[in-house]
Amino acid sequence: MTILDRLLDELHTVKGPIRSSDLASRIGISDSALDGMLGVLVSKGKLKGSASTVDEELVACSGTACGASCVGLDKCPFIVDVPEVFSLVIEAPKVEHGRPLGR
Amino acid sequence: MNTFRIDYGEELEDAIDDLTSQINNSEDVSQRFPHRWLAVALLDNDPGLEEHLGGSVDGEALLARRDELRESLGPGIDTAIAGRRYDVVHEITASSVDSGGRRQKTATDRIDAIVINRYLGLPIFLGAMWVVFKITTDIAGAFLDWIDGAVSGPISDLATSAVSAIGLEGTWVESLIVDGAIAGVGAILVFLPVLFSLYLALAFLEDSGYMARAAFVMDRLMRGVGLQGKSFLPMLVGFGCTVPAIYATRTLDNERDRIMTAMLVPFMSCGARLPVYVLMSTIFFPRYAGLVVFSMYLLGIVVALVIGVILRRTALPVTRHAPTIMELPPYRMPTVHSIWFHTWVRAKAFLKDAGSIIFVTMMVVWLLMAIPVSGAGSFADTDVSDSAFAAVAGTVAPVFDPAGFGSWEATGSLMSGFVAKEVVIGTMAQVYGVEVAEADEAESISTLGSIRDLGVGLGAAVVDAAKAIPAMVGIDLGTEEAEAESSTLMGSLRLGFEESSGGHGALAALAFMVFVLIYTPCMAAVAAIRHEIGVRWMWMSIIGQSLLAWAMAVAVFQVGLVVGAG
Repeated sequence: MTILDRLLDELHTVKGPIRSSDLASRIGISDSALDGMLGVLVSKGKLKGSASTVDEELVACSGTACGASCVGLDKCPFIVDVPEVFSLVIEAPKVEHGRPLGR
Repeated sequence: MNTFRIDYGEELEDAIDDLTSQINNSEDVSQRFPHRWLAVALLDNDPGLEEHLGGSVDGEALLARRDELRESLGPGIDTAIAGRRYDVVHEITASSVDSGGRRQKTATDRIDAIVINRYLGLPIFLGAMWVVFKITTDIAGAFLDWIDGAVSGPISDLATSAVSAIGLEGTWVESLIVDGAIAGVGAILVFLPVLFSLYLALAFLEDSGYMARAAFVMDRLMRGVGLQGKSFLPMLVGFGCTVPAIYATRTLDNERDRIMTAMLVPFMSCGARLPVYVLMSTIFFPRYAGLVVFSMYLLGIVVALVIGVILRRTALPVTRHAPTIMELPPYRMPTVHSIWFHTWVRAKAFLKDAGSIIFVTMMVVWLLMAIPVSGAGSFADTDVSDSAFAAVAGTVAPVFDPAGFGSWEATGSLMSGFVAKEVVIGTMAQVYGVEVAEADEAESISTLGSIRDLGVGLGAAVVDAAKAIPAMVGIDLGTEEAEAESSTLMGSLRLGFEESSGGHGALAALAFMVFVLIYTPCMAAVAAIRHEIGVRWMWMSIIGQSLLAWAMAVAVFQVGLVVGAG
């Protein structure tokens, strides 16, 4: 079982949210190493990332009430700076990453 | 020559050998790529390779063989190659880098152990919210009277003088400028310090790193009602403005969560509703204004959670939710420049709105109030209660009798508030303020307009705001008793609510605030819901929120009467 498999297995066992630094501790790697692994898992379709809750294309608000005269992220005054979030793609059955290959 | 080679294990190495031999046999492909590298990249499903290999017979054959091998290896192949590489890197670093044993806990880790603790996280979050609204009402509230004095005094007087100078005194133009534009938009601008302090507090929470923790803490609560944790992120945005919050639901993983979150986001009290709470609580609950405002925000969250549970058990049954990883930033001390920048950007947007859609809406309200439909008045010279606005609002007003605010003034304010919540205050200033202004016209010109008085008033406001800071933690530096109704608008609002509720003005005001919290936030939010989740849900949102708002307002007033409150 590779580190990535262990990471995915660990995610299957947690209930609720987990800090990335706590996840890194659990599998014995540094925070920066985890960053790269999360990126790889997103590119492999195992995780879904949201770089920003409200990314640029989402705030093309046509409305002008409530102070939201938004035409882009930089113009939208009510964007709260939220954390980067990754979630497990649950359509992928657990067995997908559970079978180690060749080792 | 570097002979380092990663051993991918027997099963994968066999597949690599299989592809490598096929590459060796292809003159075209073998000359273009290192053989083993290409075999590994093919098995790893490198997205760029199809472009390079497609089109040639050998390349297509190679891709076909790749697909066969990947299928026989199973879905584990997706992470096997990258995972093995990470293993090798990990082995090398572990044998060559001394990291000093276990990872040391940082200050952020130690603070997080308390702030996002399963049991302490929520009380701390609520405490942070309470402090925000205490600052908003107690400190910023000290400046309300001062700005109100500036708008209704020198600014109105200046406008009146200017109109007189061009010979339009007593005409509809004067009414339009003074009663429409200045009274309406000015009443909203009065609350700029309140919103400014809210933005200031939000900027501090964001820059310090706490806002990300709030999302983490609320994640657990969201899962409790069957939403994925990420649903709270749009809701967090909703505390600022509902519109981008509804658009933010696009980032959620499935349609059911998107619909549910978009239906719940409007219950998060947006910044535009804050002036209504502050005005009403300052008039009717002067000692507990901060607590009342805080309760409104809390009630919004509770209502959202309850509605979430109901939707989960009826129209939108629960699905399994994936665990989430949050990259929480380290705590840091916010810089003055950064906080000022964020606050100013938001305040500027509020001012921009006041000058655009709110201004236009105020003009429409003024027009409706200028058109007489009964009585002996003429255009722009009629009693407001004889106007088209009063007639329309008056037909709907009886609906709100059981909630204690069944007057045409309050009803008309709520109706115009459908456009944007800021307009509720502007309309109140027009319908309540105009009547008083007409009665006190002579007095107002003689007593207001003194810029010197305004300077003194500003000094007093600064002192009151400074005294409010220690008062928040129970240290009384001699703050004067809160003035419940220092302005004409406040006085006539109190009278109006006392009258419509049969002497239970405070209860009616509370019911009014609950209605403002629950009913449709604004037209732009409705458009956003329609755009994101469709017309059917848009109508469900409008009708459902209106009925719920009415039911809750009535419940607050009637239960309050029964238990003898207010």
